[in-house]
Amino acid sequence: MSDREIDQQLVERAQRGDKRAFELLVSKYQRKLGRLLSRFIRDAGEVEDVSQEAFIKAYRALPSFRGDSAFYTWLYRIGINTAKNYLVARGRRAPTSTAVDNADAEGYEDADLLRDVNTPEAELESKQMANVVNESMAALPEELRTAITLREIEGLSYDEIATIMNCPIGTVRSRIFRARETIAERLRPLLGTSKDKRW
Amino acid sequence: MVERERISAFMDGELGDDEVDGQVRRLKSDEHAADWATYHLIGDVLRGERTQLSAGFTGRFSAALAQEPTVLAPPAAVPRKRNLQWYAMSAAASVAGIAVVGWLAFLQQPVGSDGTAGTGGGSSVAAVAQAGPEMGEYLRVHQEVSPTAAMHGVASYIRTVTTQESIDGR
Repeated sequence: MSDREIDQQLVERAQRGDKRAFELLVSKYQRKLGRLLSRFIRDAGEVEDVSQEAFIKAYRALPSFRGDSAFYTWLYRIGINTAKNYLVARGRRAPTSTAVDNADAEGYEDADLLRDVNTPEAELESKQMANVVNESMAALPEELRTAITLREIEGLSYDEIATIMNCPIGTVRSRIFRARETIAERLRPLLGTSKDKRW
Repeated sequence: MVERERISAFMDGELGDDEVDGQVRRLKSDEHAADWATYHLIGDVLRGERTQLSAGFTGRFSAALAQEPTVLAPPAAVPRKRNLQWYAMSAAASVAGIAVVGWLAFLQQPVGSDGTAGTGGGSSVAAVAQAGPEMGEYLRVHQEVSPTAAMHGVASYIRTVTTQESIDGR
């Protein structure tokens, strides 16, 4: 099952009235959308407001989503339109550059070019999270680090990773899970999502 | 496989199709939804996605979403899967239909003196040949008023127009 098919499953559930399914999509794509919107809007608080508005618009428009495109491609268009409308409503110039419009929604990867829109608190939070993840990665046993790198950074399937690492698929699944869980254990106190807290 | 391992495999698209529905249902619990969110955050950080939204964004969005009327979209029409037997039956029905039409057409053919069916073309020629000279005259007269020309019917609307330059140049 591809990433697109997973999203489609969640969309179909949301279309049948399951709001939690839509929240799962939001938690998956919120950083990607926030990063996109920060190309239009400088203020971090405004980026959050517009992100929320874009997600709510997407939720309201779910009946019109038929799966002809990937969910993120559809969300990407809604995000751009929401940001432009937001700027126009405030008398600010909406970017007319075709750079963003023509950017490939799926492969848009130029984080280094983004302006720094984080507030000092958000910046600190972001750096702390990055440090925890990077330190946890460095401390992982070699086979776990290789497995999660091949999956998250290289985007390989379990089958492909099994071939590269010369081990069964079940072992790949277990290694990736153990890598994620080891990092997550160190990350949860920062996120406030320990077992007794709401996500 | 423990639940968190299932979530990990699910987000990688590595769960079996028969397990997906149950997995999505289990993600309705706060604890499992938090694991889903945390694992995605780890992936984003590893890929260098900088956090643009504060940690409280999800909670605020959930509160806003709770105020929204629940969306209920009509289910999309999914084309039914048709198996090989369906296609075989369709093909057989088509062939049978053509065979019946062909047989009926064959039965309606005039039978020749030798007992074989004559050709349609031959019988038409014979019919025209039997029409005689008076029918030929009729056809000739009829042809003169029949719409054989592409412009037939338009000619009556055409008026001959000539232009004459004004003497004073206006």
